[in-house]
Amino acid sequence: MSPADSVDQPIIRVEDFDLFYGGFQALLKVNMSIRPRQVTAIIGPSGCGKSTLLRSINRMNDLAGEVTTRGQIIIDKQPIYGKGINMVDLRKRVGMVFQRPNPFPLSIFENVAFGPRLHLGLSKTALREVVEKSLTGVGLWEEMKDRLYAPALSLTGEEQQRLCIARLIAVSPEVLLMDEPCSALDPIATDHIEELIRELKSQYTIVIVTHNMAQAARVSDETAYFYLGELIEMGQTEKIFTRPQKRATEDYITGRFG
Amino acid sequence: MKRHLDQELKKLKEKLFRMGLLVREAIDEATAALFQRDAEKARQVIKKDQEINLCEIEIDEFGHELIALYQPAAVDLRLITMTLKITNDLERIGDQAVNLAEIALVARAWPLKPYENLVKMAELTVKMMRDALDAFMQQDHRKAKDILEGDDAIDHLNDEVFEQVQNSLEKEPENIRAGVSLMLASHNLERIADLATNIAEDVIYLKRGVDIRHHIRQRRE
Repeated sequence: MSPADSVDQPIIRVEDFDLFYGGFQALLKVNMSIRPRQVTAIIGPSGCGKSTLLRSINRMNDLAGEVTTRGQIIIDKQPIYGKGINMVDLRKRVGMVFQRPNPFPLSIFENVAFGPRLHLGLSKTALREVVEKSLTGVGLWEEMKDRLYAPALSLTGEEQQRLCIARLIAVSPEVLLMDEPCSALDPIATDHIEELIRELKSQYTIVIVTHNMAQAARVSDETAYFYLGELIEMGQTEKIFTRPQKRATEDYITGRFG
Repeated sequence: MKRHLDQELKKLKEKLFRMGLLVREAIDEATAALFQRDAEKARQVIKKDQEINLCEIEIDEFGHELIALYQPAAVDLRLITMTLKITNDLERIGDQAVNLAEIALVARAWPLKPYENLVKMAELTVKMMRDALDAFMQQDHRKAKDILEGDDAIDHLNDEVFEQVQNSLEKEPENIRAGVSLMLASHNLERIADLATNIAEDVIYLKRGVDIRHHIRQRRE
């Protein structure tokens, strides 16, 4: 995105998107627009298709086997379902953070350097700069700069999750997908990661799936409610949580659902 | 699914309803004291106001507890926040009833015509207030909308009372004390109608999520 692009122009468009796991339809004619440099939260009960949708945005579902799709997802004007899509490039542009932090069993430095080394072919000095910038971006540099070669797995859960985010931003993605990024963290670490999400949105488009509705309310600009594979309602988060338009959304938000 | 919060919200509504009954009684008694020149009734209204004030504190505390403990959203959140606002309006209506009672304690004989309008105003105001509370308890936004229309009639009567008192004072300036108390009583009734209107607007927001205050309809769209 160039700086001239308006924040109102969606960076991701999901158009009439269906997804099937074998014979089971997990997403039904989903249409939605995700705006750049905002946090979009996807909420809904288990099995509603929210993680499936998230994984469709960088085609992680392709790895699940027996997955077929119809419709299209367009990221920054480029349709990502079609021939000639370079998956490595797509996943560099659209990075993903998972429920459990999953650093490589390597050093802190190597975790962050892994992507840029693979994609960018940088000199040693440039690589070090990228590592410093990425760790600074997630608030880890000051703490880690003197132990960059310590094993990443020796870090706390929160630090590991931050490191995983640093690993993504090291390759300058456009979009960060987060699938329950705080569900394995304690409330204080959760608070820290939410603060990081707020900081990161000035540079990246963030789509977060969360079961924690209070978290969706706190960190997101827009919220989309899914049920049984369908997008029921999407709108400004403050509106969804105070004055939703659909009864089904209200029932879910207030815990009356079920 | 049955939620514990539903029981708590029911309690909250019941507390507000009890406060509403006390406020309604205060207005009924204050207007009766005013028109019947009943000093004892007036003193009772003034004395009982403390009970209304205690209700306000109790509901405020309970509403804040519910927000802190349950982190309500959507219609639940609107119910709690609107209850807190309505409580505040009811407390102020209680204060207006006290003002009317105080006027009743010092009231003299009044010029005839404005007095008739005042009786009419009191009837309409008491009805508005009763309907506003019913609209809240039944969460009936249509009833709430009807109430809004009643406010214009009361404003009109209030203007008439002022004009009539002024005219009568020009002719009989010695009635100045009676005239002033009559205007004050009329103003107090008009304020009660305004506060009942606020309650009706809050019921509409609670039920439909649409803020219609100050005639700014487009603001939140």
